[in-house]
Amino acid sequence: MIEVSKVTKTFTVADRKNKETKEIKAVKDVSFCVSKGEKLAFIGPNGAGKSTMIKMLTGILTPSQGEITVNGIDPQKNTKMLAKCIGTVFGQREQLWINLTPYDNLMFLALTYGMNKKDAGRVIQEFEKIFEIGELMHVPIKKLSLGQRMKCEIIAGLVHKPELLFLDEPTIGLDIVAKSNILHVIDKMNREFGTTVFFTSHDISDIEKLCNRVIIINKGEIVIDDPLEAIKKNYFKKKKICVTLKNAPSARIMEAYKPECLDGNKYVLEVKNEDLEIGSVISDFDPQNIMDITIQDSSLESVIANIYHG
Amino acid sequence: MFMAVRREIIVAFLSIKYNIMRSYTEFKSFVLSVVLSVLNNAVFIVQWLVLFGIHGSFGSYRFDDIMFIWAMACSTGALYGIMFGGAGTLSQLIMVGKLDSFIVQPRNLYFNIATSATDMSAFGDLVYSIILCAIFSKDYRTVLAYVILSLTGAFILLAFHMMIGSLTFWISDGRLVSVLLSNVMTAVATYPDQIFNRFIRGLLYSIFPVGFIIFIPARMLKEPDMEIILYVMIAAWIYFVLSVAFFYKGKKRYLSSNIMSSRL
Repeated sequence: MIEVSKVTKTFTVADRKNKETKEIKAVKDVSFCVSKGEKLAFIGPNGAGKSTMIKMLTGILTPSQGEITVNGIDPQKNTKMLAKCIGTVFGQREQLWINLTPYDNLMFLALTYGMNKKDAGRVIQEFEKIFEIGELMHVPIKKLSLGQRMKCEIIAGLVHKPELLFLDEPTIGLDIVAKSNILHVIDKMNREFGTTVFFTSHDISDIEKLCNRVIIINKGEIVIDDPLEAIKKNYFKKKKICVTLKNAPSARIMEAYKPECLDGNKYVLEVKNEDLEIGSVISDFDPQNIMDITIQDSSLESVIANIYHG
Repeated sequence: MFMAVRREIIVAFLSIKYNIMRSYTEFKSFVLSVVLSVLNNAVFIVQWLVLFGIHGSFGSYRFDDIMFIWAMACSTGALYGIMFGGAGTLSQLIMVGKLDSFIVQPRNLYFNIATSATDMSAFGDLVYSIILCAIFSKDYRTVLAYVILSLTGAFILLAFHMMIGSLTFWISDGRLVSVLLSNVMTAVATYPDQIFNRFIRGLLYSIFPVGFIIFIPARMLKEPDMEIILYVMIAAWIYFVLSVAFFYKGKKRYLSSNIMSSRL
């Protein structure tokens, strides 16, 4: 579906302090492939090159070096043909006319994609049901909430039933319920129509809920390209033990595990999976002294934060 | 090729239809801008009545001729504003990275931008222009010349605005240059070309195409000459082709942007 081979994108920027121009490589020698039906999270810290990559894949920007094909099409040479088989949702910019209703906007887009009015009406009705926005279809976009608008933006990206959907931070600024609804419908689209999803977000929980593969890009280079499960397995190397004690721990425990005292008798200690077994750590504590104990994996968020920091 | 062009024309008209629908959603504002536009234009009738009352005539031009020329100038601006109102926003679109949403649509980018907006006051100009044409046109030949030259004028205006808007691909903030060039053209359009020297006149038939939008059409409405009208049509075509080439050359330099924005 997507083939990216040794792609580099260089921007020339003015350095006003030194009154000269310099070249910045936003994407450096990046290669990857995405298969049909995959749900890929393409993530990284701010300025890592995510949006630049999406813009090259959608034909908005031209790569400085390397080759890209999306569904067998060169995005730069045939943007119009590419537009027919991809859908795009940019969370930071609306593409709908806010003083028209969702119905009018979607009808216009469907007709633009070459559908006739009858087919367009049928498809809109179909999405109206999937996204459960029947009662909003004839309300001007400007009167809708952010979550409702984003649903409409996503339908706008899907109205021509694209094989590939690019979602650049579609959940930005949304509350938990709106977010959950949107991720649910994207997942549904993937299951029902086999739509390939190319997803970027700074919210790691979104990625856990939706994606089955993660590419992490940092400073323009791919640092990880693995299935989500493999990342969890390979990078969740620490466990966090949170223990509440009646009395302070013994000097031996303090020396061996160096626990951090949170407040009063609550202590936290991090244990590397390969160094120790959890059972042996717990057995070192006096069972009579333990009031409460919890064991947690590191969060995916902290794992990814560590990867970002190299 | 023919089918692709046909589809582009259909979609362009569809865009204009939806632009009008958008204007209609703010109905009071729409009606007010149309009425005010008609009144604003009507002030010039009073102005010319006073001037003709003082001077009697201006060269070989009578009051009827001036009104008819004014009708054509209005309809040129109106057709440009209604059909290609988005061309004037190109510089801003490039500056803030709003071209993205146009690029990812399955349409010809040039016409997608040009037909993306409609100037509401242009409807007032069009109404005013049709009324003047109905009152002051002499015969079917002048009406035909009026229609053709209004359309060629609208296309030349489109080409001019797309070209000056495209300068932003090269200049980091081309908006000011774009506005200044547009103002220069409007300013010189209100004077007869005979007052300018040869160099300036050369500019008015090249970089600032006022000659093909106002000066030649003004003469043609008085005494229509189909051969010269044909030359104006060829000039409009050349301007259009140059603007398309200039725009797509610039588009390769487009850098996009990540700012928060919405398509209004």
